[in-house]
Amino acid sequence: MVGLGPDLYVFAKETMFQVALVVFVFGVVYRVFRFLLFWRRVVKAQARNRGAGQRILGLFKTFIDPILEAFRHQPLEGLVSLLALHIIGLIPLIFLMDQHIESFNEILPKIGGLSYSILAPLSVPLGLTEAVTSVQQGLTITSAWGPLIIVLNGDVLATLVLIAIGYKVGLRLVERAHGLQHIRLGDFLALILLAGIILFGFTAAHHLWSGSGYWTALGLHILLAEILLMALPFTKFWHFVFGYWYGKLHEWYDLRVTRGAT
Amino acid sequence: MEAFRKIIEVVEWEAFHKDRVESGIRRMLGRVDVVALHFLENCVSCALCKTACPYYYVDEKYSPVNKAEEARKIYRKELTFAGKLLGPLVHARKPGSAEDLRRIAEFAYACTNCGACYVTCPFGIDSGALINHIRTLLTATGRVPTILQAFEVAEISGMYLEIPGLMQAWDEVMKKAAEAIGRELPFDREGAEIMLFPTLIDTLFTPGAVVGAINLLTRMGVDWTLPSKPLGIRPPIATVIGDAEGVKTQLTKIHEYLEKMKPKKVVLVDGGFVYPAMRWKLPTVLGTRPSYTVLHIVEVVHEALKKGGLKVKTTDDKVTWHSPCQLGRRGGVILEPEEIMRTVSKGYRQLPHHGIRTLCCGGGAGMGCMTRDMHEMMGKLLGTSLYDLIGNREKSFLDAAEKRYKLSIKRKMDDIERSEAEIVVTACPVCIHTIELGAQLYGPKVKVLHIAEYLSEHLEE
Ligand code: SF4
Ligand code: SF4
Repeated sequence: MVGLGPDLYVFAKETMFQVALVVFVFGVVYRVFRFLLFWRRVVKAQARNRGAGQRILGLFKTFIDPILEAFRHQPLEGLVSLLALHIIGLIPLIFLMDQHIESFNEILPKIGGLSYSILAPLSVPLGLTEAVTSVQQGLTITSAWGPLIIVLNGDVLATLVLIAIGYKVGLRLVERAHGLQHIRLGDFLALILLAGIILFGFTAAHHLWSGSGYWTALGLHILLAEILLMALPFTKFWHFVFGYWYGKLHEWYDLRVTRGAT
Repeated sequence: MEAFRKIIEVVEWEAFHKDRVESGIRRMLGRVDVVALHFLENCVSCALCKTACPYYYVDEKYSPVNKAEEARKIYRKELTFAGKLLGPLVHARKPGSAEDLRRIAEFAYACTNCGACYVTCPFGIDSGALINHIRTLLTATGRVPTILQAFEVAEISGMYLEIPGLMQAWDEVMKKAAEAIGRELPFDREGAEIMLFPTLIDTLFTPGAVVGAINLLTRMGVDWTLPSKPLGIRPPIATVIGDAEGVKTQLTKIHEYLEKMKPKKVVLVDGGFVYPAMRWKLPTVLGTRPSYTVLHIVEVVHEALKKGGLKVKTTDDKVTWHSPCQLGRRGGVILEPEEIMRTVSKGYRQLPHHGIRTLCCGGGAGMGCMTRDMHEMMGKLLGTSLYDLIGNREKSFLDAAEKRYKLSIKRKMDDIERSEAEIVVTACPVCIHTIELGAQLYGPKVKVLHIAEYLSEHLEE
């Protein structure tokens, strides 16, 4: 057990990372290729021309309307799924947390001379205590978020996401009990995977497991994140890479550009 | 009666024929292109689309995502590795019994193809399109409402032209229109600027709209014509039952006639599915762009008002515009009718849900045909008792569908009530019929008119 922690960590960080990357790249190529297989050249109707202004406005509305609709008609779902889970939950937690910025900076290649650390000014600290201390001492100038880091920090965001996941799991169970057939096992597995990543990350960040336990927690955190990376092209997580962007741009082109809906 | 018995021989609501199901699945999957693949694969089951759907308010099981799951189950089983390997564990399943088909039909006929879910889904997933794919499967298995099947066959075969009840309605409206403009109607003239395209359903449901449209064109002083015989019952009616081949056959016939007549513009009275079918789908289905432009009468009037070719009297009517889903959200004609209505009435008010967010009335895609009254009315016109041709299984399906349809209208009526309008102006015969029914069932007691009829009554002398 003593050796498991460091070994697991090294395995996750080195070997498994290579494997996850290969599976991810293969998956993306497969999904895109499969998508293109269904593409057919067709004759399209001549688009209605309502001018560039309407098209740009339409693009904005296409992305923003569903969010507004969610808050209008399903406020709790909007708060939990969109706000807590996505907008102020997972997105900053994954992409902006101090340690993640450092790691991504190491892993990801520079693009056009720009490295991932360009996001450093937007970084959010790991822990709540750290955030509170830095606000008390007036040290928040290192983050563009200023005193907002009291909320925008790993601890608070992780708690938000865990509450959101708990709510989603409960809701799905109720919906399933109502006989709604669109709820599937994969929905639960996806949420459990996210919860696992966060819980092990939290455990490691706060050294809740002492000694080599720290390395075990960190290793498991990375390992589960790699499982997520491998699952991305083959599961509902694909929405983040492709489905969301394609779907909204297609809808915009179809309804707002071609048909001229305003 | 005998002719109709033959027409509906394919209808089958009792048995389960594996070969017909397989052939239905092939047809359904044959419709999957890159866009449908996105609709099938990229749903995350968040159910944010549910509140957009008129049928969700009837029962939560009719949410768009829950209904579209029927298409996804089949797709996963047939076209994904996970589905083939893991089957039910990943919800991959083909219909395997008559009970499965019954459930699928219940879901498929709780949708108007209004597209509200399409613009509400954060991923732009058009569940209505997938539900239409399920109808393709059902139609192939014979689970198709007899009334819709009868319309489809009558339209494609041209048999409707020989049914006295139907043609009498057409002739009477044409006579009235000729009287209204004080001269013979200019039927089948080649090379006219505008070809007015009323359908048989326009003359049956909204005769005032056809007369109104003819009056408007005459008052504009444009060079126009119209077909001496209807180009379809409500073409392409096959689209309602998901019959892609039927759609192609009917559109081809119409297109051939129009190309022969060479109008510059084809102008529709119907603001239901006929509009997107003719304007947006026809080029893709036929593989060619037509030489004519397809417009709705509302677009032509809008242009004429802007250029001064038509003058209207302004009123104080407490009037609102119900944007038909197919003309507005799916057709793109949203600005024009609103601008016209603002010009005509100082008392014009928007509905709380308007434009691309218009609430569906609940009657589209054949849902308004599911009632006993509609069967009796159509039976009379067709010269046969449609209801007597239907088996008990289909009758119980229809009873449930009628209840759902009537409940689904309530949400629209509440929206109208909030606007405090006394007149609802719209452009689709089914919306008119459905809102009138809603006014009887739930109030408010509004008057419902087609925009061509309303405008025709408000022209300057
Ligand atoms: S269709 Fe869109 S809104 Fe509806 S459940 Fe799927 S992803 Fe969510
Ligand atoms: S198209 Fe309209 S009726 Fe059909 S599922 Fe979507 S919202 Fe409901």
